[in-house]
Amino acid sequence: MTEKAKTKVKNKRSWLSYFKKTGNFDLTFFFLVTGLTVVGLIMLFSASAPYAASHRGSSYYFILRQLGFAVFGFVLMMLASRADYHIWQRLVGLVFILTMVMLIGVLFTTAQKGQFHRWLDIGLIRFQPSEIGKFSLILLLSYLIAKNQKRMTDFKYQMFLLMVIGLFCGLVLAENHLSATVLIFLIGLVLMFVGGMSLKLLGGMGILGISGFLMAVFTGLISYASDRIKYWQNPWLDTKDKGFQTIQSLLAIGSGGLMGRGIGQSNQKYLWLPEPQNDFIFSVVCEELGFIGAALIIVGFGLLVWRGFVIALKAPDKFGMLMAIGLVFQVGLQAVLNVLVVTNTIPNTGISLPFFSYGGTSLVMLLVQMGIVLNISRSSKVEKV
Amino acid sequence: MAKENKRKLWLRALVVLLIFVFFGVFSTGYGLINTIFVNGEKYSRLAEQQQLQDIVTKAKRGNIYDKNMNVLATSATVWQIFVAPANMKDEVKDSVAENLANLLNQKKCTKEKVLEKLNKSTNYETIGQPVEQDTANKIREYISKEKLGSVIGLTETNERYYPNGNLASTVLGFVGTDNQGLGGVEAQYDNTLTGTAGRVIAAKTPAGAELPFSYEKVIDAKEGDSVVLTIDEYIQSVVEKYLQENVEQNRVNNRAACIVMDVNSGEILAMATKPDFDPNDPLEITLKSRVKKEIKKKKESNGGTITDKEKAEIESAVMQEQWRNKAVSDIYEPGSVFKIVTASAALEEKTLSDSDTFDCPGYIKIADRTYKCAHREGHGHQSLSQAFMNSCNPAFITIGQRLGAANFMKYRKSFGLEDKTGVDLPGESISSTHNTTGLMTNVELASESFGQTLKITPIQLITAISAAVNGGYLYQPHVVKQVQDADGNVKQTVSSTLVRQVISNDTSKAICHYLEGVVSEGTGKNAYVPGYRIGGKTGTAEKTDIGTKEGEAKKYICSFCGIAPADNPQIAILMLIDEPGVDSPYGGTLVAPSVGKMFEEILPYLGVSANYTDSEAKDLAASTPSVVGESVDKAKKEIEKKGLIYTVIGGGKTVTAQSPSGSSVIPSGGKVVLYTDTTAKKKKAKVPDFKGLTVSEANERAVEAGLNMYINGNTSDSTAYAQSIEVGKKVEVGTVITVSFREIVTVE
Repeated sequence: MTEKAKTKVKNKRSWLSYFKKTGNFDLTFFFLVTGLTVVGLIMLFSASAPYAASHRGSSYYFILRQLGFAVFGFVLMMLASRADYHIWQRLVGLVFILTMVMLIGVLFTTAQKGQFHRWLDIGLIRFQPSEIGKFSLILLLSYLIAKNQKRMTDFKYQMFLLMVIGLFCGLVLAENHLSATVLIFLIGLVLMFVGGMSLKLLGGMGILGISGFLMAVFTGLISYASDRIKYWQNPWLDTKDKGFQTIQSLLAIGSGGLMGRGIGQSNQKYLWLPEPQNDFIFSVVCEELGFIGAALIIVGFGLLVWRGFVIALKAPDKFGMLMAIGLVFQVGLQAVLNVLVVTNTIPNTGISLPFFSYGGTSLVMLLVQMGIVLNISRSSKVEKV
Repeated sequence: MAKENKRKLWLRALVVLLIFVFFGVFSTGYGLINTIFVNGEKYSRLAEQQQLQDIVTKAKRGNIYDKNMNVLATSATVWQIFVAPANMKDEVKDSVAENLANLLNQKKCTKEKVLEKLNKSTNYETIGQPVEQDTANKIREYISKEKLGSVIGLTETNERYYPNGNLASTVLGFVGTDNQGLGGVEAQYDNTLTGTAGRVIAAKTPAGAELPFSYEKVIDAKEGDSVVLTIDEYIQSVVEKYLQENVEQNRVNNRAACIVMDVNSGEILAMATKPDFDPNDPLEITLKSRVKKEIKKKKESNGGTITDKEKAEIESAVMQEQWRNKAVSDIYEPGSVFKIVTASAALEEKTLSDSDTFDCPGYIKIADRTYKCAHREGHGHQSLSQAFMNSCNPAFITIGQRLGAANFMKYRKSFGLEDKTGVDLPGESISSTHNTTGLMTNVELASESFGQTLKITPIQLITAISAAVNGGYLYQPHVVKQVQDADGNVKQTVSSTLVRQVISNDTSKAICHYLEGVVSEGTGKNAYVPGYRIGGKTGTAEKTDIGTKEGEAKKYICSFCGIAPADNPQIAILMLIDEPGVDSPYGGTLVAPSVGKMFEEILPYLGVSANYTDSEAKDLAASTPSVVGESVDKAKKEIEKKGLIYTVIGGGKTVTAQSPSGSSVIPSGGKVVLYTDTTAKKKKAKVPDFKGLTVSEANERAVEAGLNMYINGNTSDSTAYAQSIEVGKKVEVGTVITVSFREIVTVE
């Protein structure tokens, strides 16, 4: 058979054949995902109850919905873990087109309650297209790099890939969603680096990036006097409004101490901390579980990343490897940035904490992506626990 | 995949993992440690501040009791009404104002006044004075009935209450708006009385948050301890009655003070300054004439105008003055009363003996100075006892010179006149002008020997005199004898503190003897009380230091210090009036009568029994029998039995009325008028003027008028100076009129 014929046969592979069981998935990774999800749900319930009671009329408002999505997400995760991840190679085009439609479409929606154009409302579900964007980029880059492995030494091809990343970044930036842009950019860069990007180019980009950043600072495009920087450096400049959320977060974390107040015992969640079920859920975690609890959760995320990389390194092909790395790196990076935001180590940007923050669609998507990693683990040469 | 390619891939993935893990652990670790351990304490404190409301509950202030546990100051729970006008609907304001004004029922809180406050756009306005429980309940009812809970409220506070008004006000002091003690015992024992404030710590949330728990931690306020004073309410009221009377009669310009001390313990039984103030309303100016005078003075110097600020300054200064406890805070030249100290020292040092005699030509020359005696013609040849009775200055200057400066200074020190007494009251003054560094010159010694040029406080002087008459023991004066907790358990008892023995028992006895002579035969006669052995010393000091303007009358401080009983002293009374506005400003004339009246009421109260001489027994008062309803014959017999005489008016058989009424005190031999007919017109008499009459003259005039006279004060060589019913008034025949007598003593 010629190369072409081979491809044809592959292409003709029936859709159902992707769901044939090929081996056991990695239990360690599964339990890490399950553990984080369960702890996330418990903490969401604790953190959201007072806010839910006051703003939604029932303490259970958020937890019941999130629980439903979690169950649904687990079903989809198990399904994804059964589906041979190569099926995504065939869906890459579709996913890309859908993503583009949504990323562009969202810019034409009307902004809701002071938010930017970040959310799409399609009947039952409401989600951020940038979330899909992240997955879509991981899939697209993994596909392109794995498929054109040999061209990775080609400067032009690398430039092409960078332009793909740039396209995603540009569209997300158009939503004025800086944190997601940074996230997508970093994920793209990591995939290109692992995929064989030339170090010279990386170095060049680094120099370009730094000088560009300095230029922006110098010309005043990024101003240190801008509110975000100002209230990051000293949230107490405006305790009532602009610095309020940050201050309340710090007060929550600070009053947790080493051991925490105990689960359910947060005081800050009683409407001091705005929307404690979202980006700032980790503040409540710190207040209730203390430094020890927070550290254990961070270790949990660390183990997830580590196990994801182990799976990736033992993956049977480059596509699987890059997919696994991209997916777990995305989770890990988001978790780190979230912790840095709630501790006011970096300026306040909208980054949610995976498995913890409220958001059904994003939880379902996260679990599906974890399902893909689990599937990769089925065919990888990992020592099964 | 090529093997090399795969290795490169591996390597790069590993680099990413390591960088990420390193960066992740380092950065999150930094963030958490910084927030939790570096700044955690600050953050948790701030969190607590916003999450908890900490309400301080005031402790009930302890009571102040007199020595017999009569309440002099207490605290009551009261409620202050407040409104939030900004949130009140305009249409209800009129009815709210009317209802609140009616419910409060306070003079200064009219409907208009309330409405004025309701029409403001503030969030908090107090309405009226704090109210007591029952009014507060009525207002609560009104609030709940009209559903005004969001705009009207009541806050609980403690209000200090002094049931006796002005009584002992300068000793008690008063409290400020936060119940902090200002002045007097209230300030001196503020910590004891205040107690410990309690706290209610409750969870607080932003509006709308419902807590699933109600967190409330209550730390009860601990009620303040009470203090029991050595002050006796009865003695205090007697003292204040006569002090006030004296201030009015003698038009005292610069206030008067009086102290009653238990000479054997240093306990202060009474201490008063007049005019004083009502601690229930300490801001009300009682020295109104003083304010007027000062304003007038200021206007003159300003050329006819005065600003509000200047007015306020004057009022504030006058207020400070009315709160001042003259008995411990003002220094003055004691004048001749001080001769007791000089004589005690000289007798103790044996530079003076009972048999010494003195010749007074009316003056004495010391170095280049000539001291005149008050009696210009001179007292001639006198014994020591006579020198005391005459209060002869040259004699006491001689005693001082013989004693010598060193000895004089030794006793000035050991009698406690150079140091604060340490009395447990705030604001005790002390003169800074004592010459304590070198030896006094003879001129200085001469002046101080008879109480001039040295300045001391009344409390210093009575403490020293108590030592001089009690056997020589100098006690530290005090007003608090006990501290009790809220349940009445004694927490602390203040016992008498003996400072030192200053003179011997014998010297002390001698001093008492001489002092008794002053009252029985000398300048202190006006303090004499029949049946009692009173001792004392008069004093009159010209206020040389303030300087009088040309043509202005000289200013004096007149004083008298009495002790009783003279054979075994129990109490001492020192009274001084500062700048009397009448003629013959002498302590023996203006002050001694008041002290005598005080002794007359205080000594029987203290259980000191009276022993009358025959002539005294003759004048002794009798109590009229109550005979209304009795037959005329029986009534006559009862009246005769009491040593009284009678007149019957009307032809009936039974007594229908009598004058004076039963149990009235009239002099022996007085007349009781009996009415036997209800239709008989009661006989009226016009009250004659007794002023300036001797006792016998006055008695004659009373009999002429058909009145009974009750004699008050010293009766030998005396003239009447006051009467209880004003001249010209028509009264029933037989009515008892009290006439006060005193001897004009012009020699000091």
